[in-house]
Amino acid sequence: MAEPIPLDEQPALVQQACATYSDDALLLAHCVTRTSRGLSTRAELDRACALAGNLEGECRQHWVLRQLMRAPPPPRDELLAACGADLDCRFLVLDDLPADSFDQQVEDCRLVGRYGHSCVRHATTRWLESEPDAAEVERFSGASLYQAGLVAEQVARRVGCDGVGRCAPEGAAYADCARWVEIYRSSPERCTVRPLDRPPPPPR
Amino acid sequence: MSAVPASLVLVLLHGACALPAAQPADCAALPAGRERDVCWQAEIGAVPPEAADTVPALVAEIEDPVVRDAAVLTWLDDNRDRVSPRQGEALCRLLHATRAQSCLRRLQAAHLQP
Repeated sequence: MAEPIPLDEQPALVQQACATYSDDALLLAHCVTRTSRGLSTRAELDRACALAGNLEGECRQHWVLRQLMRAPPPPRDELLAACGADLDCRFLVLDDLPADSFDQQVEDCRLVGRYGHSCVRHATTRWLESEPDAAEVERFSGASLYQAGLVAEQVARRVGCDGVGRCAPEGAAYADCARWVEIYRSSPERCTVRPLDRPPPPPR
Repeated sequence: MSAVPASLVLVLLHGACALPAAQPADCAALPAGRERDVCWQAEIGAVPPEAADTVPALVAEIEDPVVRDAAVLTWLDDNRDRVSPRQGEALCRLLHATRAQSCLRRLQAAHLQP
């Protein structure tokens, strides 16, 4: 964590809004966090959020949420960088600004650390909702992707529940995929259960 | 000066130790401002999770939005796994804009559950 910059060297917005809380670390952190959404630049954000202590991640996320509401929003990489070490903030960016391809989106889930499983679940649920055809099912199944076992489970949902495509025999997770296809075919009631961890609605 | 009986001293000491923390009535008696808001913040911090439904009314007493944020979010952090989704959502909705949004996200997103 960066060394906090004194309040009198903070962006004017933070100084004006938060000077009155300088004697209370918790209130100062909350003030900086709620003020961050109005900051103009990434440099200002870095300076301000360093004052937020345990709320630094939330402080960054607030600014990112505001940026995501802009039309068009800033580039994805800029927002990911603005998240700093806050993994949930990165997850939010990936969900709201998905990559151009499903494969890339799954790979980008490496960026969210311990939330990687949920991130891949969101990405592959989007893939399912695109109603992929047989060729795409086999292609996606054969790609060597992050969290291959989970990808295989989602592919199997398309194969076993919808009867579209097949597990790619050359795929690294072929055995997982085939096993899940059997599970869905033998227990079709599982097909009606919505996948967990669906993507949340965009923050608009 | 006459000596104070030891028993009276004990009674007085016991009474002092048993004094309750600031009560809502005490906060209401304070003049509007930071001290009063922080008094309500402390009151909210002492509310047990089984009395979650009383928190919104206490939050409504806080005028300063920063103190309100701190009171609500700290209480939720301390009690999030002991209140119902309805109670948690009601508290998040007392916050403004993006703070309410991220409060709800913390409550609802599957990957953020304890």
